[in-house]
Amino acid sequence: MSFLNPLAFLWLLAAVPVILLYFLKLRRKRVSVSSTWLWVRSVQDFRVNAPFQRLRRSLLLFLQLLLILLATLALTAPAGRRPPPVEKRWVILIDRSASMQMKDVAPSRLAKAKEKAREILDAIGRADEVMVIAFAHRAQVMTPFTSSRAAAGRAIDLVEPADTATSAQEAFRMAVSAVQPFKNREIVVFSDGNFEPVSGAPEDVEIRYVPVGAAPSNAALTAIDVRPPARADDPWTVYAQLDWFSTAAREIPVELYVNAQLKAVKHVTMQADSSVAVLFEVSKPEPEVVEVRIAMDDDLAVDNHAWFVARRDRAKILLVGPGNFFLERAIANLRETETFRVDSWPAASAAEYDLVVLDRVMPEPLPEGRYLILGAVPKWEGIQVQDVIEHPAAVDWDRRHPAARRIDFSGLQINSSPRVTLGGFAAPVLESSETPLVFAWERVRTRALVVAFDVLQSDWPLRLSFPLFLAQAIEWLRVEEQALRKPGEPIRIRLEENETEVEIARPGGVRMKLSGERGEEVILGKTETCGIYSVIRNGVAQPMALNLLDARESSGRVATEVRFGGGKVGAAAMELPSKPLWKWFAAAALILLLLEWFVYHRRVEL
Amino acid sequence: MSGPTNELLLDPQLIRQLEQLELAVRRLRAGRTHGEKRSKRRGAGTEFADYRDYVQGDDPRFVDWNVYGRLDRLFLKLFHEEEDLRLAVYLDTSLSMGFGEPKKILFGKKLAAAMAYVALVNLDRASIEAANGERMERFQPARGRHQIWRLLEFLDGVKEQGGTDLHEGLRQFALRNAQPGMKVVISDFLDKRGFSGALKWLLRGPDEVIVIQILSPQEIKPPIVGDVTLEDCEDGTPVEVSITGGLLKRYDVNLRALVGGLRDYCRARGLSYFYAPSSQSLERILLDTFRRTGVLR
Repeated sequence: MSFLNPLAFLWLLAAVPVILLYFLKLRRKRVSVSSTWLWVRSVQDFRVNAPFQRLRRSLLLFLQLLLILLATLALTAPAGRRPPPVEKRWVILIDRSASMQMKDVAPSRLAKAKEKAREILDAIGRADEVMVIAFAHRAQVMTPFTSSRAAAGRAIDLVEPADTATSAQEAFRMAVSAVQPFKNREIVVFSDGNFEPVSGAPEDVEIRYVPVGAAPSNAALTAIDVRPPARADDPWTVYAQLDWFSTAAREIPVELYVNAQLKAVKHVTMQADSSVAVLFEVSKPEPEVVEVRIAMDDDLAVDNHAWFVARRDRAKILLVGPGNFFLERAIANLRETETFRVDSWPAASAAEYDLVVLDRVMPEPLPEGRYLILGAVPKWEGIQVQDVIEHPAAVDWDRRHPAARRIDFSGLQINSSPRVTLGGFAAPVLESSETPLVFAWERVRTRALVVAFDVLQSDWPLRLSFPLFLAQAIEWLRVEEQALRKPGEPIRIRLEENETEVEIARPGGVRMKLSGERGEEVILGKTETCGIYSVIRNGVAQPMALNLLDARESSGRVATEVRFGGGKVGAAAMELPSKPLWKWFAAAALILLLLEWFVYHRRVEL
Repeated sequence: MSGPTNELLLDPQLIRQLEQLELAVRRLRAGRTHGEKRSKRRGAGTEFADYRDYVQGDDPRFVDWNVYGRLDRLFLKLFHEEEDLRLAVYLDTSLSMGFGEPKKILFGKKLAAAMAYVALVNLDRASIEAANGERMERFQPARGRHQIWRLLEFLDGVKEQGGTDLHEGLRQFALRNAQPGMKVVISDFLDKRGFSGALKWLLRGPDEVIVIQILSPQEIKPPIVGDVTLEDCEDGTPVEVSITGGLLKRYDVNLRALVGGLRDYCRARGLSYFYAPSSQSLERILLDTFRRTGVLR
């Protein structure tokens, strides 16, 4: 016989007070009688001198001690010769994304989810093992499989909210691979279900989705943009997308801060579940850091701010090539740029420029960087150049590509173009029926736009689409560095040639230092909080804005079912494994028994 | 009948009834002085007993001259001499007699007073010994109705104290009261050493021995239940018991064995035994039980 709960043997200590009470009983009522002689004769059997004789003689005490023993044995959950119950593997997935910070359930969705997760810990079998995975933009194993409830409880406690979007895929894959070797297994997801359907779920893994949350009222900023003026005298334009997720109409105050100073307030009347674009115009000062703020309390605070760092620096463009009048004119007309032209490839100083335009030259090898390549095809992975096609006709172009937007390529006359086969990292932008004419390339930190034919051997420079394409292409190629960053994404910072560390100011004013090799990149990984991150060099802060800007997170809608693999998993009530209530009853009986013993003696003493 | 305590012992109505009674002895006893009891001794009584031949020296006043006239022989008329009866009361005053409600010793005192009063009004000698294992107080033998005040005063001063030692107490009692008469022993007989050894001292003479056992209602039916420490009121011996219905039954059996054993012992040896719960009325035992059994008449 084994005991599933041998700790319960501590209940045997309950016999101590009973025996103590029994000895306290010696201080019993003294009754004077004329002579104990008759009594002595009558109670000779009852007369006791030694403690053990007392114990032996007291049937009541014996019954009580026996009861304590039996109750204790019951509490120890004795198991017979049957095999022990099959242990189960539980994976608890806790969503900690931004939407889990919603306060529509008190104190917050995440706190509620953690509470429910702890309830599972209390209810599962003693032989079961638990793994805790927290997920937001990525998954994090809080604890591997453990049979220790305390360890699992601590792991649940350690789950902190993140200001990021939700991606359940990685967490789910980790969970499935963790339970794969076991037969008896279950995955429990505590979430509001605001994530993309998860693929790759085996049919036989039991998944339970425990929805957390109610119906929130939340105002959110889901987009922000700051446009510089077209002409020097015009004001800057600040655009913000305001979404109102609620079933009631409401007036929402929206504040505009420019360089940390309140510049404007707009009261926007929002209908139920509506979305409105809010526009501000700023003349002075010239915006550096723009913040749009919703000045009210709602269920989610993290989406009430949106920051934008306006681009002020001029892009340094290096033009390499034998000379191209049309190209030089078109680039020179671009705003916020500074162009340098060289005839041959300057390998050493290329990294100083934001963008390199290669006109009919193809230096080998090309370092990582941003390139607009004209009249040449780089020998990158997957790209093969074959024969030359005469007079190819532009028949199709990717209208959604930032470089090709609003441009009509039809009727373009091209003398010849090489036949190019693209690999996995390239995407055609403009195609003839035989070959891509223009394609985009993105791999790691290299981004390039390649025009395979020589533009001077076409009528393109004479067309309106040429400068437009160049402007959009250069915009796309250089835009990434200043793009709106999402929280959770690592920030890469390239150290200057003379520095080994850089100071970072995080939102809330916390400063930290990142160090690395000269000229190498350092990575700031802890970016789960929205706000302004600044790289401080020589006392000058270079701000970067991290915004949630995620309508799905901000909506806070609680999905009634989520998709795992092929099937849908509906919201499951918290049907926990039945709790062994008999323990409570047995414990209550034990306490009652002690009480009865006490009361019994009180009655006699009265 | 003036003192309040005395009133407790004998109330006027009872006294009037007691005045009609006298101690009855089944056997004639020889007293020291002339009294109202017919004696075995022939003498100057009024009740004819027998004739005998005259011998020289006899008092010629007792010659029956009528017989001499008919038979021409001298016969002497013999009379039962009327003598006094010696009543000796032994009252157990051990602490156990102070137990009970009403107290056993009070009941004993009343009994002793009543018996003594009956003796005194009938010109018998009455003495009372109030004794326990340690000390003895004695009301010296006295005669005459007027002694009742002294006797009541004596009894009033008697307090329960000490342990029970019937054996020694009755031995002393028997020695001091060697002359025949009526001997009354009033006790609860709750003596750990038993009663037979004590009562044997009273079997030696031709006495009329009356044994009265007084028990309180609390001893007959103990009102105790539960776990208690019983404390002997005489020697303080504690006994821890859990009193249950079963134990009370056993106690009752033992008590009956004690009472029955004493009764049988007395009967077998010609002693009169009376069982008197202290709650019983004094009138009943005196005017009813004692008269029925011939202790009083």
